[in-house]
Amino acid sequence: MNKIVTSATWSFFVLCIFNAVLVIAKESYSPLKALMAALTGHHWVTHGVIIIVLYLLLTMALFKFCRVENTDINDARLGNRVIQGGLIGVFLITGFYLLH
Amino acid sequence: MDAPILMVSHVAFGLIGILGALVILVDLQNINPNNIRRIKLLSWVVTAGIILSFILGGYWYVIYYAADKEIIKAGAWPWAHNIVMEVKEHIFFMLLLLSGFLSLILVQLKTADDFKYLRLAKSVCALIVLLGLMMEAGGAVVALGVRMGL
Repeated sequence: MNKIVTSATWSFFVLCIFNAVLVIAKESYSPLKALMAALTGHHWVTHGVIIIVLYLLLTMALFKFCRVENTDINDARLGNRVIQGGLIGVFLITGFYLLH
Repeated sequence: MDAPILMVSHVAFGLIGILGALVILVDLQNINPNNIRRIKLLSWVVTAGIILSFILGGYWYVIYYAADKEIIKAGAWPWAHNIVMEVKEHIFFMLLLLSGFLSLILVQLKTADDFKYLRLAKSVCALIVLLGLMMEAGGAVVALGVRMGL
């Protein structure tokens, strides 16, 4: 079960950044936002589906493909990764809308 | 469902999630055989609270928010939508992922002595509390933005 926690941690870190990148992309390129809105009826719903599905897929992919020796990362480092991911995501999204 | 009931439920379930994460954080600071059962139980309460808050808030946002948005944007506080609501609706995704992740971590908790993810669990709880409070404050600002536009 160690691998699944490590995989989910890294997946969260990546998805925090991806979430912010997707926000910036759809707000900066209106055809993308229109496409996302057309897919489910609302761009925010599509955004949510993408984030949740990618999180699950990336967690499973990391669980399946990462080497066992790479998953023995200490607890403090994983904790830092979660905080870093969260803060990067918040700063990117907030910074973008402040400047937008 | 009625829009005000949806909104109150969204806030209430969000608060349950935030307070649950706060209690888990405090319990993890003093982890012992007596509070393990409570920590594990509360982790599911946090997950359920945040997911329900997300679904109810999301439904309200998609169905009812458009009218409020126009009022806010035409009012004295257009930034309540242009910045606060936009940030809130996208950061909520991170909170949703964290709530599920917390339960996944705390499933590993068997005994107080050999729990390998104490720091990680505390970090996730702290982030849930921090982001959750941001969501609550953001919601209050958006509500005030509507009032400023009336």
